[in-house]
Amino acid sequence: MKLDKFRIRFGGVGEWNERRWAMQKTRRVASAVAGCGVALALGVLGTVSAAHAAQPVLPTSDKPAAILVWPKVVVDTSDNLSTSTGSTDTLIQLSSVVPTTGSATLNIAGVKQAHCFYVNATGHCSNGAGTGCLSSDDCAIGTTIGVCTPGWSETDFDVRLTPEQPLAWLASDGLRNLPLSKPGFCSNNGAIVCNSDNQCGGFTCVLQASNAGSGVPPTPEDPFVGSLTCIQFDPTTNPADPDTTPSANSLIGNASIEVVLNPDGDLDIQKYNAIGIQKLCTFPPSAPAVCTLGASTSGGILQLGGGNAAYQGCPARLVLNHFFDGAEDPIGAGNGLTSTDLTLVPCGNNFLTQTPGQVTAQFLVFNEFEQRFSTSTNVNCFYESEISNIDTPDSGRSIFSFNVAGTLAGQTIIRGVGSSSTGNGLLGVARVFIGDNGAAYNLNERGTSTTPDIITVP
Amino acid sequence: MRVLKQNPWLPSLGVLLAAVVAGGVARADVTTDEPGSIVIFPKVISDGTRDTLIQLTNTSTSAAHVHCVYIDTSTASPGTCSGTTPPAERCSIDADCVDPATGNQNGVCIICQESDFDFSLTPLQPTVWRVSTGRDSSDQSNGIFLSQPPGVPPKPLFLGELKCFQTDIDGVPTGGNALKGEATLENIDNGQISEYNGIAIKAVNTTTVSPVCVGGQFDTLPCRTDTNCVHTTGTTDGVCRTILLLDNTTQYNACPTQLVVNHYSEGAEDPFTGADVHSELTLVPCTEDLAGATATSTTVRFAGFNEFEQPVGLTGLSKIVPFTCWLNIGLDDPRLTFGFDRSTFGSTFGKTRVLPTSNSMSGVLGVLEEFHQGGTRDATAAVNLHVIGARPGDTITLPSGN
Repeated sequence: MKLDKFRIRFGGVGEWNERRWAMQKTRRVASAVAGCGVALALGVLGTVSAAHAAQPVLPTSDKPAAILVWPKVVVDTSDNLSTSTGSTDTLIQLSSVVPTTGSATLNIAGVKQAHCFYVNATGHCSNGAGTGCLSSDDCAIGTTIGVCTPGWSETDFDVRLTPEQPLAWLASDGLRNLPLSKPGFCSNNGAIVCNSDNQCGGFTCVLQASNAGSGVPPTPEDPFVGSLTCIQFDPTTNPADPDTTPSANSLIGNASIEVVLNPDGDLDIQKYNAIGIQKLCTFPPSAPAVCTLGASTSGGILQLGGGNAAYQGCPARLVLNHFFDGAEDPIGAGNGLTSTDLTLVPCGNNFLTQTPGQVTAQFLVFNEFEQRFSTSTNVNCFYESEISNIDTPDSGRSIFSFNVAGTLAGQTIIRGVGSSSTGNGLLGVARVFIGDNGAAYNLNERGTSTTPDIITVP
Repeated sequence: MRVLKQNPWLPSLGVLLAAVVAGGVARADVTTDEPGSIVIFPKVISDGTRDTLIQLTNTSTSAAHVHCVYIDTSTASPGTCSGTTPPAERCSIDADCVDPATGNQNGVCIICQESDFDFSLTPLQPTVWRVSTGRDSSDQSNGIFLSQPPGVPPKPLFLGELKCFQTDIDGVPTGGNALKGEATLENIDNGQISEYNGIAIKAVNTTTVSPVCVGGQFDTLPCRTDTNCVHTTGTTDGVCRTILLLDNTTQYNACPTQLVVNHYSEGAEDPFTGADVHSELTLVPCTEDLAGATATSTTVRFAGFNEFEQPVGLTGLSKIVPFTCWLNIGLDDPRLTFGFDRSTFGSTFGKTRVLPTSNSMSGVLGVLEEFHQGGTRDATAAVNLHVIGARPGDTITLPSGN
């Protein structure tokens, strides 16, 4: 569907937009690969110095940034997917680190807009219309076993965050009623609410920082597997553009994948930090940061890395520490075997033309004997798999298997290879499981990709 | 319609936060995303109920030598009363610091005992050990493990921090930025696990940091052992120490000016699972003397905000919370004095800044762990904190030879 540009950027409460794109070919292994085819003095000072003091070369999961990527968001409240271990949902946390002040004017100027995109990588069974799947394992419906046809769609929405404000929502529910929808009040009488001076009989309507204009939709379907990307926009521009103010790096986020394991209500919580990509800035002494560096972002084309980059470049390599799948838990007797689930997403995405990133991921695996193994796979917009299913459907024969590697601990270096602007770098997150108990953690990064990745937004 | 009252303390809080974050002007690459030359695991537990797996990996194509220091605050280690009458009185618990005859209190019992070990990693080699059992230097059954005897010592009872330093083959700290790590906390009975990334401090360059005499006639001169620092004139001997500067310019990157964490209000109900959620924040000082001298005491404050952009408590700032060596504090801890609990916090979710106070002697690093109380057991999850700013000036002191 063609969307009105103004509405996309200024979606009112409850407004969001969804696009779908037809599936293209994909490669899939048995377990779980979802392929897809296709100046504000104070506020400014505060986040200026946030960026100021800490602008690393690479994307970062522990510093405020302008673009946040949650590589893995999963909703499966009915426990339908074969990869689920119970009813599952994801809690998204998103906060602004712009300091609050005693000035309503400054607080209003400190409001940041997160323009967000859910990327839905859920496939659908050929033998059951609308039945979500990640693999054919999910398509045993009645007496038939269908094919899981991967699909891709994106849903975008806007969230405005006031200074210091933390927000959170369940991916399955979204967030329709945001905490701060406060109108202004008349300067002559604080009890009179207003939205403009006209309502104050000659006095001024004192507006306050609010979430007005925000709305988070629920994920478009359940089950849902995919990713979330939020880009910091400056709501003081009209139309809103990617933020290039001195406080351009003001967002932090987390995700908690929550699983209800059994009827007793036993839980498993896996929490990770969203990966932040910072707007590049310079820091003149005793002056606000200058964050207009690099290629213009006003057209919605965000260049990550490369010459004339506007944002940090994606890492050349990801480094994953892991236990080899099938190893015995060295701590808990009888708690189960170890396994690791890896999720990868491309750095680039074209949300305008609905062209998702496609990258080849090359894996170099080292065991504790310093022995090296290698494999590769395709990342089409979203990739998730147990590591021992990356190279083969038979996990016992995988190079990621304890039986093959022979040691408990491993290091895997993942390199993204691609030729298109949406297909170079990779971002990811890992989840380790011991039996049914999981924990999520962020990957390490090494080196900057010399080729830029592009995110294009409508 | 909800009426929001402007908090009169808010402007001063804003000024404080802005001042704090504006303080750092240099780069800080204390990071959980990249390898470094110092890797810090703030929360390591081995207490019979929980145990910890430490993964440490050499990400470079050259061999890496590692010097690690456990900093134990459990009762397995001897403590020292914080008072001076008498000085250095040994203790295990606070009650040991009370004179039974007079009832006089000689401070509180501070336990902060370091123990170190060394090993080497071949190029690109990963390794792992269980804290309670350690890893024997002769244990090659699960991969090569090149350690100096006795390997990684077992810590059947341990509560504290682990710091690992990249060194040269002689054990002198060097800046190779090759180390990365993860810690997995596991409940021994039910297998619940939490995992977080080790916090890496990158070296500014690849030079080694040689030991120097500290104090005495040969103060600041190079040395190899304490005997090199014994006076030939005068009366004061120095000691030979390796002092790592977290200064952002000459040796290592600086610690952050503040930490930021998204969290649940204390006891809040998770909207999906319905479980009550409790959070535990673990902090360690950046400045530490690991040569057996005084444990670091420092102070922090907490500035919390709810979803309505309201600062928590009257001033938005907690009382100053002092701690020595290691702080493991629930968000319902009375030392915070104001309400992180759900009923007074005002919303289910919040965000809190952890601020070393202006006169504190150390920056801090930390992790958060959540405990979701549902079903027959607690579900746990750990997450690294976000960092803001740079605070040059912290130092880590090691014995000579390391």
